[in-house]
Amino acid sequence: MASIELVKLTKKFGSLVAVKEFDLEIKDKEFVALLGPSGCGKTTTMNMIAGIEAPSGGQILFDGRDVKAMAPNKRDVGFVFQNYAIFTHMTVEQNLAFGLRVRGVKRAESDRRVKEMAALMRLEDRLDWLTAKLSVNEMQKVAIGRSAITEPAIFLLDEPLSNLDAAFRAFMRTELKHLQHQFQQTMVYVTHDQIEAMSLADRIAVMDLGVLQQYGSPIEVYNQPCNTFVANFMGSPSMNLVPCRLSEGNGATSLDFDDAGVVVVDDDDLLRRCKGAREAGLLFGARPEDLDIAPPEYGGAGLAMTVSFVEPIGPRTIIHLSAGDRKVKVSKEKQYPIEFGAKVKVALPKGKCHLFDADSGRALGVE
Amino acid sequence: MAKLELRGVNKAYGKTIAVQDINLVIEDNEFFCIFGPPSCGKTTILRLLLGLVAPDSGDILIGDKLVSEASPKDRNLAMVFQNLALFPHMTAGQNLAFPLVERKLDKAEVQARVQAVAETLHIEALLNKLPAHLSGGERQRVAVGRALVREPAAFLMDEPIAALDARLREEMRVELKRLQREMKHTLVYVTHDQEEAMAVADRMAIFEAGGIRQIGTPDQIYNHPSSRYVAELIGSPPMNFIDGSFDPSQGRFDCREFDFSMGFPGASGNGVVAASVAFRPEDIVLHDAAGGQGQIEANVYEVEPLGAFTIVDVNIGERILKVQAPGQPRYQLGQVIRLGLDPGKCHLFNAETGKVQ
Repeated sequence: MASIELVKLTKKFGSLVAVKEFDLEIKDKEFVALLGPSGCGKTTTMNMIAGIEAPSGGQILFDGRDVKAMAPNKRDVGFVFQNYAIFTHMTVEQNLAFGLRVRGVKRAESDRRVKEMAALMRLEDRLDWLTAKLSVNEMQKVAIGRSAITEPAIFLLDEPLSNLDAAFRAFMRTELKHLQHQFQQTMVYVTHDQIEAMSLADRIAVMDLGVLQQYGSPIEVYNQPCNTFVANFMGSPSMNLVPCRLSEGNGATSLDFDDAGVVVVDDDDLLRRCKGAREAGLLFGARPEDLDIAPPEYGGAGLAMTVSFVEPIGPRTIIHLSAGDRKVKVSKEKQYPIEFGAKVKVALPKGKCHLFDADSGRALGVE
Repeated sequence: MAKLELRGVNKAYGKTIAVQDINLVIEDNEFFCIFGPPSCGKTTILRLLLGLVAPDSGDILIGDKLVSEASPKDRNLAMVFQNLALFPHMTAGQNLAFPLVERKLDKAEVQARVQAVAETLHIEALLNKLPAHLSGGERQRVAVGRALVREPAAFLMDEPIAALDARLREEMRVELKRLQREMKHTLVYVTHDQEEAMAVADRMAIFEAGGIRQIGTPDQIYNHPSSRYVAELIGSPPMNFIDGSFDPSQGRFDCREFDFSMGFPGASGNGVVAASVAFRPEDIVLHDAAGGQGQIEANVYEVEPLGAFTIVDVNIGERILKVQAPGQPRYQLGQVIRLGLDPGKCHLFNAETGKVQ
């Protein structure tokens, strides 16, 4: 049992504020990802949870108890780093058993758990290998296994998949998630990779410059970003953010996209977002996969644009479009038939459009 | 500006074979990617083209001229490095002019060529700025421009954007592709990022252990891999495989374990062979257990919602397959589902040779 609560957690390095008044609640058995670009404070936060670094202000509570006075080794926290910390002079089996041995776990019990873990990590046929002989991928499996085997109440992982190749990363994502479902530990996972955060976490805390931007389920954060930073950080390709102006007259609300034309808003959800917005300095937002390519004569709400570039990236085709300095990306299925230079209408999806204030970055029309 | 060609090229370092029997024609004005895992021979190809190492055997041609013995400076190839290496104390214009000043060209000529290159690359407005005041994309343009003023026969790039973060890489690769189209130069591009390779390449070569396994357009490589190796290497999440046997007399693949069978009327062979059927995660359709549609029954193992699509990991017994479903569908862990496969999007590989059966 271990819930974690951060209360106004702050860390300063000299005049630099690495983490600023960070409030976060992590439930028992929850998998939470701390996500953000380098320098956002995610690793510093994790180090404070582990007790490696002392906060400059605020509190960390485990199950409601302040852990300030608790030494790192008393916190019942397991750690996995990007650079697999394993003993290279020991075999896989010795590495897996190490944490149990120092805790004085009996031999028979330790053997059983090592076997279980080896099966789970698919390392059974490597048990008597020296870890120095393992591939990078296998080393990281050992590193995760040797930390998980002691069944800490809280499991902290700092970019554990960053050094692995793409195919193995995809495989390990699934395995990690499965591991957590089996062990039911509270997991805090630090990453700069939004795909990892989306696929693994129950909830994602998106951070930038030491400040929490948004906290929610992957789908909430993806579908309802609270500001342009989150909108831009989640998703690949990222959300389109297109400058526009609002105009109202003759009972109609329209968005003016300059060279891409004027769009009369006929979508209730977007109308709601337009309400109370100022006239200039707006960014219209839409995900590339929510947009559609229509012929130029399309009568519905759409932007008049020209295909400037097409990227066939395997399962998807990314179509880049432009009109003056307005640019939009649309994501379609593979082998999508489209020509460079084609003039099209980019059809706006109902209920899936966003509006942001360009200065504050804040999403408009959301609570 | 020039076609590049390697004919039967071999190169070994001591006992280690770096590249073996390389036959490759890179067409004029082509954006050509060399793709493969670490130490597959990618960089050796660049070194051979540049003239930094000589082939043990075989010929290298630039613009139909034999250059196997020519020194690097006589090959007139431009190399753009990962860190771009602009002089920070010089303006963009001075950086562009540098190679020409070095060659002691007269001032008017230097000016004219810098101007022409700046126009091609749309960086006229940047000429008086220092690199520190340029964006990543602008710096890349200047670095390419500095190579372009020398009027090289072709450009070579070794992982030029690998050090950048993901979002910037996505932007830069579009920039690069646009740049190559505008300047109309042959560009040989080495990368280990398969999405990047597919996004920029007109054609690409897939390397394995010093040899070429397949050459083709990104579409050919992705949708018609000629071997299991290529099929596994390209695509993320990776392709799924089901092992079984193929009977050419019936034209059928069978997998007893999963009670799965599929016809491959186009495939041939002598006698029953061990084989694998391969299919991409996005080519699987998930059906409800009840409807009776689909060929294979499976359980939902894990669900990875990625926003634009959802990766559903399914297991058939111990075997895990990856399905990429569009949008944000919801599934329960353990839920029984059926996998629908379109034979037109499935590939059959011989288990022993790894080749298409």
